[in-house]
Amino acid sequence: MSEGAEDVLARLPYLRHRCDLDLLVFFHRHPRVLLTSERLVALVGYDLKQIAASLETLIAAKVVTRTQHQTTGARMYAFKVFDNDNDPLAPLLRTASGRAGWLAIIRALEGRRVKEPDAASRSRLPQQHGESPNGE
Amino acid sequence: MPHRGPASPNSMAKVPMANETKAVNLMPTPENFARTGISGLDSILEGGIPRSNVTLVEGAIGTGKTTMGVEFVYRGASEFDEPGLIVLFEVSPEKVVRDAAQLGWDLPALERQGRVKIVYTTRQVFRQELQQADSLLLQEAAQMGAARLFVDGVVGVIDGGGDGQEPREAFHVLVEGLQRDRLTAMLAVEATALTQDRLPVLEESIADTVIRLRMEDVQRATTRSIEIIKSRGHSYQMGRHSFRIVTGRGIEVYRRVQAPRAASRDRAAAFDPSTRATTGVPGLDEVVNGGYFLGSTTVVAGISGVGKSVMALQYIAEGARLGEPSLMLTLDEQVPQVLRNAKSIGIDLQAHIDRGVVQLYYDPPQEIEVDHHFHTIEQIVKDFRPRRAVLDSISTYGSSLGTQGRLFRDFFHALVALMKEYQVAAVYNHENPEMLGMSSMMGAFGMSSLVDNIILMNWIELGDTFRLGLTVAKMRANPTVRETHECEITDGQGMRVLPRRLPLAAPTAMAPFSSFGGLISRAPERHTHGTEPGEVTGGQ
Repeated sequence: MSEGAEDVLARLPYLRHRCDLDLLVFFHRHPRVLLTSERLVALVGYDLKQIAASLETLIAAKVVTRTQHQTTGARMYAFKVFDNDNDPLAPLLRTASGRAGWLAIIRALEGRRVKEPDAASRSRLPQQHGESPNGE
Repeated sequence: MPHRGPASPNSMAKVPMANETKAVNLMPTPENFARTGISGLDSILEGGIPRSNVTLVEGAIGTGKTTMGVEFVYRGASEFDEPGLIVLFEVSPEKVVRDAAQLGWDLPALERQGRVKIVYTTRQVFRQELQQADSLLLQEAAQMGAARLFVDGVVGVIDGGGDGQEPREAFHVLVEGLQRDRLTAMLAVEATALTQDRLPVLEESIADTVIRLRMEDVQRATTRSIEIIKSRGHSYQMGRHSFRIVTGRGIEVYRRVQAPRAASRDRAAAFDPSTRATTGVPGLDEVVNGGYFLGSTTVVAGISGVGKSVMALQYIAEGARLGEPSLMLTLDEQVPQVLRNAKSIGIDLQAHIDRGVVQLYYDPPQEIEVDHHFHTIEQIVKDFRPRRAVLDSISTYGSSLGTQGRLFRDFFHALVALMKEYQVAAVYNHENPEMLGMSSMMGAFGMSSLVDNIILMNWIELGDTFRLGLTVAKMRANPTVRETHECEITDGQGMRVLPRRLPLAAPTAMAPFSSFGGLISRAPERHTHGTEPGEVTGGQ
């Protein structure tokens, strides 16, 4: 039995936007990717600015690490691999794996953004990480 | 040995020394060769793939390219302490992990240990990466000490990817990049990139090893085959071998049945002319000089119902009684049926099986995959080391494999050689379709020359009765009296060979076979002379 969306999200306070969620699910399915930002945009389906913001969110939460290439636009993104029994993302991914669960989480995320607009906007201030807004 | 792949002057391995190559044929040591760990593949590669070789795995969709590449990396990491990198362009890593789990490979565990990394990227990025001194991919490989690399679907990489590079140039860049980092790489190529079932010659010439996977149509079934097209730096077994992808285990390659085995098999061709395996059929040992020699090949030929399987069961039971490992291979009857038949003639085969002295192997004859079938028999013989074996029956192989082409003959030849190598006194039942008499010993099979002993069983019509006759038609290295002996099969007791000359007190009203001529030629005639005093001469 999946947990409720609110309970699941309570363990992941850094998630604010549905793009955060979709990017998280993408990295869970592709734990180590070597891609350009443009390709990531094409694969996940949000605009570059939003992808960049969500990337910063996940990197700040230490769920994803990023290694930047010196000479090309490609970056290596590595999703943090947890033990099967000790994966804090497992309940989220379990719930989000079905359409109903995914919609419930999306709604809960929207509610979270309404309640905490400042925190939500702070979470993706790129200047905190010393990077440009699109993550380049 | 004509079936070995060449190690021609232009196919010598590169010794892993900077800017230097030496024309040497490498010994298959762990330092020189990367064993794939894929069951059966290292055997046909004669030790594995020379290190730093770039291997192309070609094949159509669904032929098993991804499975082979992933297993190459998985086995390296889990069995040979050689970490590896898997590069994917289209297939989601999640699906690769899922499919690997079906085959019993725990890739996430190896990822957590840092011994396997699965990287999802694009062909364009991948091609650029291999040209960069600060390649993130190669940096990742170096950090984990990767020795192996699998790239799934390099078509867009080697065709230049639309950035103006010639395919040959692009492929050269790829190969150089991999060899610079001393990665033993396997690259999967879709068949859509092939021209008339072949890659453009240039790519195949740049690659060090080329493996082609195929789906082969056999009647209405499909089987998988694998062929080593080339492999620099060592010899290998040529031709199309079979393979399967087995749930819980992975790829299993079965060397084609015609391919040469160890030299010991040919050296052991002669049978032991001193030790005999007794038949277990009362009266038969006297007819066959005390039994069949170890390592000899005996065919029992006769129409259905004459008692070939009964003789076979008695032969196996005799082995069990003597404590000799005894093997029964059956295609005609399933195991429960064989056990029931044995019980009906007083043989508790199950008890012998439980005791470990008898093995019974049944393989359904429909759509038999001959390489896999032979591989299984080979493994059983190697592990069980039987002293005697029965195969019931070779006619069923004829139905499955055909008797006109070479396949059946090659299979039988390989089987005989296997049994001789392990000095098994092997008996093969053969269903001869002729009900009365025989016009040939082995019908369309034409393999009499491979056989040491031939025992003909047939019905003989005398009066209004079919009586069972047994004639030793051939017995190598033995004196042979080609008389026809009468046999009988009794419920609960099995078969026995009756004496040629029955004592006067014998409870029979029928004349013995010694009273007749022309028994095998379908024209029996009663002798009017030649009977000895005390013999029964009356009756039919």
